[in-house]
Amino acid sequence: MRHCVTLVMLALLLATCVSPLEAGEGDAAASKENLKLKRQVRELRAQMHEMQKRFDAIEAQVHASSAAVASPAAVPAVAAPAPPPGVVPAGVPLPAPTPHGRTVGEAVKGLLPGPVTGPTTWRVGPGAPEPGRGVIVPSIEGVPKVFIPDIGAVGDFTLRQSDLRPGDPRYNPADDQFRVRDGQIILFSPIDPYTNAQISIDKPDRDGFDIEEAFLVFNKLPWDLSVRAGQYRPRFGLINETDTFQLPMIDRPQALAQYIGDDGFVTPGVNVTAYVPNPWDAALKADLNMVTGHNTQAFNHHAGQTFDFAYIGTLAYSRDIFRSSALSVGVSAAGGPGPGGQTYLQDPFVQVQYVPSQRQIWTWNLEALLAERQGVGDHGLKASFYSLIEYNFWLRYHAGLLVDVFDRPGVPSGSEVGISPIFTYFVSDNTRLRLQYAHQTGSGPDRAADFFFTQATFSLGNLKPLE
Amino acid sequence: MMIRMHWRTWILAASLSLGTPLAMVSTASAVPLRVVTTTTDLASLTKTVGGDKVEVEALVPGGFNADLYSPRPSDLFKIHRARLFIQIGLGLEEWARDLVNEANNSDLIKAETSPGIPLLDVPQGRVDFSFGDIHPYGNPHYQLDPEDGRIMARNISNALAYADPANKDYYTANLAAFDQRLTAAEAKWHTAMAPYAGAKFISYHESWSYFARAFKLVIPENVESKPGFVPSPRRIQNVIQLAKQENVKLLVTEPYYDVSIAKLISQQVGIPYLNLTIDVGGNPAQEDYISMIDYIVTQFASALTGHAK
Repeated sequence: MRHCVTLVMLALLLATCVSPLEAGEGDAAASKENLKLKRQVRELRAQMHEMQKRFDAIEAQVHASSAAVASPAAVPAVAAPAPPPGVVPAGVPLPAPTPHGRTVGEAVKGLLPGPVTGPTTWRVGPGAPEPGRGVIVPSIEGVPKVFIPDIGAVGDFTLRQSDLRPGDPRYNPADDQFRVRDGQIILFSPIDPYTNAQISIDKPDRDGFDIEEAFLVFNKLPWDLSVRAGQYRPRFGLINETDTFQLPMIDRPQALAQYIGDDGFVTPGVNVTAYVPNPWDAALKADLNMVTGHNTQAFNHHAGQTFDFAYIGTLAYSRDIFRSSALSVGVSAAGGPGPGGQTYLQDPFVQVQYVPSQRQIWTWNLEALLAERQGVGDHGLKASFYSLIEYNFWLRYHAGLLVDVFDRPGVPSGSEVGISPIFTYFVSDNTRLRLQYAHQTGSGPDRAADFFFTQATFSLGNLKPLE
Repeated sequence: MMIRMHWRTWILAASLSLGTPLAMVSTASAVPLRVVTTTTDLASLTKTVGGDKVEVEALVPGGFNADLYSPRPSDLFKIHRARLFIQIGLGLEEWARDLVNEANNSDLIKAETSPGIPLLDVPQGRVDFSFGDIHPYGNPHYQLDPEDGRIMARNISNALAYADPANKDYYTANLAAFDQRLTAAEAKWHTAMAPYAGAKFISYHESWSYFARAFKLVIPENVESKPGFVPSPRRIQNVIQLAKQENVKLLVTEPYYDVSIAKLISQQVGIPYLNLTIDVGGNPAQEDYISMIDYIVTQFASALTGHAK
């Protein structure tokens, strides 16, 4: 029993001794960690102190430099030699921004690992200046290292309501519905140092997927020529190059649509564009297209006649007027095989933009179309024109008035007149809402008709911006 | 009628076709160096550095917002004739890319003045259009910090020397002279603005971050919640409350934004508002880069009088 008591006493004594030992080991570990942290704090403080000293020195240098330059006596007689690459001269605080932490952006910038230098990834060609001394991009930019084309996406939604009734030849209930009128995916990229390529995959309402445009542009040619080959929108008049969803009205004016189609010319061919030198140094641009005429309403390639092309040419002159306004005048002409024989078109046009301020922009478009088509029952020259006055009265709001007059095609005589007030609101650069009313009347058997259109359009990317 | 129309069309087509080969006769590039810039600020700096060795044209008229500019047809021709094209960059002039691509000028050298600028308002993380008209590379209105103006001038000098190496020394000398004038002007501006260091003001658009940095001012908030979008009534109320809480001294806008909203906020808060053009040619007093900044500093100092710390 005594042995048992002794053993218990020994065990208790041992336990009492061991506990402080364990506690002592824990204290030593904590103390070690503490010392380590203190050392880190000391080091960081030393670094901060060093940085502060550097800041002070640079600030003192800047002040001294400013004072020296502010004093006329201290102005050097000659310019200082250019600094070697990577060295910043006194007084030019390029690598030493002076953040004051005043703005949100400044605070964000403080979180970044280093100074932000912006998009300076353009390739610098041979003979370019030293790195870090400005981005200078020679005109031949080179093939991108990664093939990521620019991508655009378009959706165009419309609703038309009319007072047309069954029995009227223009009546089509399918027209008076919501329509996804157009959807496009557009891809664009340089494909080599001399060539750009663009392709638009289109899904028009009521049709399947289609290639709207697919072309190459060679714009590094001698004499500053630009050549385009493939399927594209040739320049013809003011708006043929513009996709229908981009136009300042919902539909292409009937003055044009009746003769060249609802969507304008979109045709395979080859295009050459150049500025015409002239003694007055005027902006005179010539544009010539040789096309297949893949358009049933104007030109139609004759089956089996390999070289029977249509030709489209445009000569346009533009100049600034007043301080911030512009004038464009020109004429397009086209000739080639039509559905029933030869077709000849002429299209004089004028555009005046009067821009007293960015909150008030007036634009006037006037375009006429003279058509002479053989074998389609036109019985001579047909004349049409449209005039659009548009007023951008606030940054995102536009009001316009369209007058659209055309001779009826395919009949000996008769003409129609349409008048359309248009209101457009740009929700953003990428989204546009539009209302348009049209009253159409004519000298033919059809009675006057009223139409009301609404349109919502988006266009992402800058390949086909909304206008 | 048919015969006449036929002949007219073919004569017209032939004359148009003749225009193209005529264009092949290239005009020799003449002295002085032709430079096209996007903004009038760049044009002013280019003229200052380039002197009589350059002929400069700006595409965007003074007092206009380069971000919202709609190019004119004649702009293509200006770029077509130019040897050097200079832009602000950072996505400010997105319209310029198409112009340059379509200008039929294979000799064109393109430069931008943003390299080396310590940028502000660089968005973090994912950026998309739900942020508004945001500039993903950072705030492009850096011309309002005179130190950034110095960097812009240096980048322009480099670009000119690259395009016209024979006159490199001339450009360098002009740059040095500009540096001196700018430094002297800066001393004057800092003296004028020093009493207002730390003063708070609200800007309609985030055009003033660099100016605030340069003169140690504070912008607690912009009127626009998303750049480029007109603020909602609730947003306007929030800005009014914040301006009162933060003891804001001034509201500043540019003429192409909704000045009526700026007026409303300034009336509700009881502070003055400034409607300022922020580029050369915006008004007759802003005839070059230095006078442009000088005008703005004078207006700020005048509006903040009585609010010195």
